[in-house]
Amino acid sequence: MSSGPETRKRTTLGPELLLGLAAVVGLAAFGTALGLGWKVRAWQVFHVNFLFWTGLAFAGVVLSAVLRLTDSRWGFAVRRLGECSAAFLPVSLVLYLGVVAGHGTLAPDVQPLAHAKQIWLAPAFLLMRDGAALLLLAALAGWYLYFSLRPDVGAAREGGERTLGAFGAWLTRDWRGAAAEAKRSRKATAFLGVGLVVAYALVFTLLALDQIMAFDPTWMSTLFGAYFFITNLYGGWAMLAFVAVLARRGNLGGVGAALDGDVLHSLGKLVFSFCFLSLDFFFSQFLVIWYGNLPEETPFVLRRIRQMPWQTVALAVLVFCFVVPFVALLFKSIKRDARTLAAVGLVALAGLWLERFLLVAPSTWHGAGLPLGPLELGVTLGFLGLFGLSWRFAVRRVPLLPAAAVTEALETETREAEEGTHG
Amino acid sequence: MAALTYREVADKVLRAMTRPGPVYTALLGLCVSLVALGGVAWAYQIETGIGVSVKTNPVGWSLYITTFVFWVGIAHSGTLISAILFLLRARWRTSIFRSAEAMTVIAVMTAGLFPFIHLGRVWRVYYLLPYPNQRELWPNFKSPLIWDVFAISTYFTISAIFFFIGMIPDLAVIRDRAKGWRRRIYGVLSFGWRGSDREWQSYLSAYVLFAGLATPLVISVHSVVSWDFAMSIVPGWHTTIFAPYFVAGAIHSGFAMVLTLLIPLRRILQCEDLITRRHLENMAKVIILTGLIVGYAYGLEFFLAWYGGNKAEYDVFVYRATGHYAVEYWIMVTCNALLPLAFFVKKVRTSLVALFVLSILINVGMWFERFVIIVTSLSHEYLPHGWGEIHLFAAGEWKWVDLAIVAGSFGWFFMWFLLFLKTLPWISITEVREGLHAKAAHQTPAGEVRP
Amino acid sequence: MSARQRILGVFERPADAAAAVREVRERGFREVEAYSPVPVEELIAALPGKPPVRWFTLLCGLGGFVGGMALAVLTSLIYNLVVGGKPPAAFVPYLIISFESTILLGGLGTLVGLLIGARLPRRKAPPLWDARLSEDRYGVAVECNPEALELLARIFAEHGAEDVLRA
Repeated sequence: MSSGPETRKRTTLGPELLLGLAAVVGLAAFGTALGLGWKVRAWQVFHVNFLFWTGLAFAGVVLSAVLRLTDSRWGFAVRRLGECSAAFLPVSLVLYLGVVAGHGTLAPDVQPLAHAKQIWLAPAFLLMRDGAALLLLAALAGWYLYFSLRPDVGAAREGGERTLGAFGAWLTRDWRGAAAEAKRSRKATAFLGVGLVVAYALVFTLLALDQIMAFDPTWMSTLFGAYFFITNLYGGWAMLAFVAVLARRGNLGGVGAALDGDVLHSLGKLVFSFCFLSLDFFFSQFLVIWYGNLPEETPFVLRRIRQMPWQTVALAVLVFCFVVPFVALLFKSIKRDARTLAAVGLVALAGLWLERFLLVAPSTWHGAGLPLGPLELGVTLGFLGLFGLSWRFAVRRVPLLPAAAVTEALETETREAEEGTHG
Repeated sequence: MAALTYREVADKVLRAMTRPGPVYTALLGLCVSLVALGGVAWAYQIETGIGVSVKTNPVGWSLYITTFVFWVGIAHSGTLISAILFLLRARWRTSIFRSAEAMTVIAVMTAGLFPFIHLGRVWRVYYLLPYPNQRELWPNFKSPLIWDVFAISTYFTISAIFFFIGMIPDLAVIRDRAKGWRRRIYGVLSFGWRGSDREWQSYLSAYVLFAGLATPLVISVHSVVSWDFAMSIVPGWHTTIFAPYFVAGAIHSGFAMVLTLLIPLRRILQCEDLITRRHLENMAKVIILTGLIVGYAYGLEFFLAWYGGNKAEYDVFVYRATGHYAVEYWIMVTCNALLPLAFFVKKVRTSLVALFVLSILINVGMWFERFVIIVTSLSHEYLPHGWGEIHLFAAGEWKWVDLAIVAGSFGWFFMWFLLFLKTLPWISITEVREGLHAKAAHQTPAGEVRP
Repeated sequence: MSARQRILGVFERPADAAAAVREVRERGFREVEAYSPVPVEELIAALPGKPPVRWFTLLCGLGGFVGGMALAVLTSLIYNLVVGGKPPAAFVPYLIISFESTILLGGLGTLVGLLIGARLPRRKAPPLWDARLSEDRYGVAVECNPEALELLARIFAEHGAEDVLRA
């Protein structure tokens, strides 16, 4: 069921090499930019990528928790794939040092600002609380993952596999048998899942306020935090759809059969719903700002949709992030077909990256022209490489499907709970 | 435990439609009296003028709009349960969605009274409609009030249609069990439905499409209502978070009202095995989520008012918490954001008494939330010499008209709901049967058990 | 030319009714109707063709979008006032009007599509009907020539019909 020695031999190192190369390219691009004195360009693209990829990493775990909390019947096949993106979190926490380093270049001086903002946006306070928040959220995610992985890893080890080696031994210490562990894990993940979702909303609101909104300190929008974490979940679903197709094609961990047309259809519907929700949140902000026409709110928006060169990026975001996924995912055939679903997922993710870029760069870039070129592509490839390497590292080692013993134990529990009801 | 048969399902549900007893008649009488009281008050207001109501400069919108938004909010959970939970294939929706949908339609009918009521010159209400006229006057489609007209009429129409077509198979069941004039009426209402394959095929297709249409509609309607406020530049109103915040609040109060209605009904009508504690618990879980969202909005708005540096905005928030309406504010925060956290405890969310009491308190809180948002902001705008409050006792007389009309609206709502219980099937017979059918299919030895 | 006759088989299990319907259709009978108190996947799947409802929804929805936008834009070009500093015909708020009218007309279209697709309301009750069919039994009704009655009765019996009614 999970990867035995034979299947492990079959997975190649090709993707790892490519991703490693991408990571090196990123490092080189970033280094070159700093060397050439392009401080603002280098740090702003680093910042955009940090927000984008860290967002996806957390989204993977949060969406897995959501699938668990809603008792979704098809979710079992994709949950672990989402959880694997959390492997990027340790990398991301290290990369946060880059955010700290770049803050001086990107953020405006707080001295001329109003009193409240001087306190709240003071660099040391801001960077420390954001670092602490990210650390806390990562710890919570880790705790959730401990209980999510434990029964499946333990059941695999019971079956004689050496899943996750020494780490797996630590993970499954004091093993009480598959059935008992399954029940304990179910309770724990329910409880931790709720905490994780709440903490995610709060931490990502904080990130949005401190790491994007703060770069244009005269601007404010109360929905911005929620907009950020909802669009991030949209990206998360798009990512899940994409990696589900990847896992299906490569039959990673034997999960291919479970990822049938119905699962892809459900994923497509969720990507569609969150695309719509993101559009709704975007419109809610836009309409209020447009209608009120207040001078403290409109410059932020006008710079992005009326001024060149940002106008083209805004149009690209509208098309790739919203219009194309929305229209394409109306069709059942597109949702059910692996290739088209993956393509739409990629388009949505590219659009989302551009959206993050459009949020950050116009506030930090005061030079001429559009700061979007080989440097940005290189650094983005670098982050992609690191994220991909982390994801594959996890995906090749953890069991991707729930163990049979675990599923059985949980089903008996559900059946007993539903007995005597007809609703 | 033996599963119910199809006949037993219909027997149980239709037990509600027996001849009204003394308790029912008394309740109905109470509701009708409240409606009469409201009607008298409204007639008095039309005759004497809008000045008999509490609203006064600067608080041009007060209890009527508060109650309007309250009822529109309650209307949202019905569509959420029937449409959104349908699309998510949540099985627990089956036995509750019919009464939730009825609640939606009736709540929209109730809310729809208030645009008429709060207009001083009711006879001019047709100005809101786009009709060609010789003066070439047209409504201002840029106004959120016109968006309201479109959104709420659409919502009423679609909810009513969705409610009705969902009932057609059930109405056929009643037709076949009834005799005489009842048989003819339900025959007409059921459109001659026979459950043929062609009928089911179109029905299922239409149902999914309706659910797909109703879902964005739910979100848009309360967003539009919230934009009645957010399109202004009044401090405390001009904020981008209103649309999702109001939608979450609407679901919050709607689910609470569903609990308030269903907890006594399931006992009185002896359908405790159709509407189980699991259903109630799931609704409580949704309330936790919406309560958290509402709490998030309260906290974030206050924080950003401080951060933003707009003095008028910050002052309004301080005024809300500490000013003339502080009691109403703290009722709002406690009932909406704090008390629902009790549902985290399993014992609380499975206790019928706790669920019932909390559901009522949540609705009290939600009414006060709309009151706080509307009245405090209008009382405390930018110019200090323009500040002012509403009073229930002003210029030597009690302002009774608003409260009478608000009470009348509650009477109107419960009156229609009681009438619904006696004339239409309050639980979907067909879908409960469908659920039994699906369960039986899952449990056959030959069939596979899907995860 | 003999008059058309009708025969109705009443089944206890939906699977039996579905099998009967399939066989009857395979043998070339066209006027076949299956009845069930709950929607049964196999019975619906045995129908040729797909319901036309979606097209009504799509066309009416699009019409609603265009119509709503047209109403708002054209009337504001007639009643040409600058209100609140916004241009008379402003696209952003008019999206809301057209969104709502999309849903309104889309919904009405769906209703019309349902009535047309399901051929409701039925002006007359089906000539052969049993009240059990709206409770817990599944029916298969066929309109045929009198010669075919025996054959159909046999097919129903073979598939375990509880009852066979004729008219």
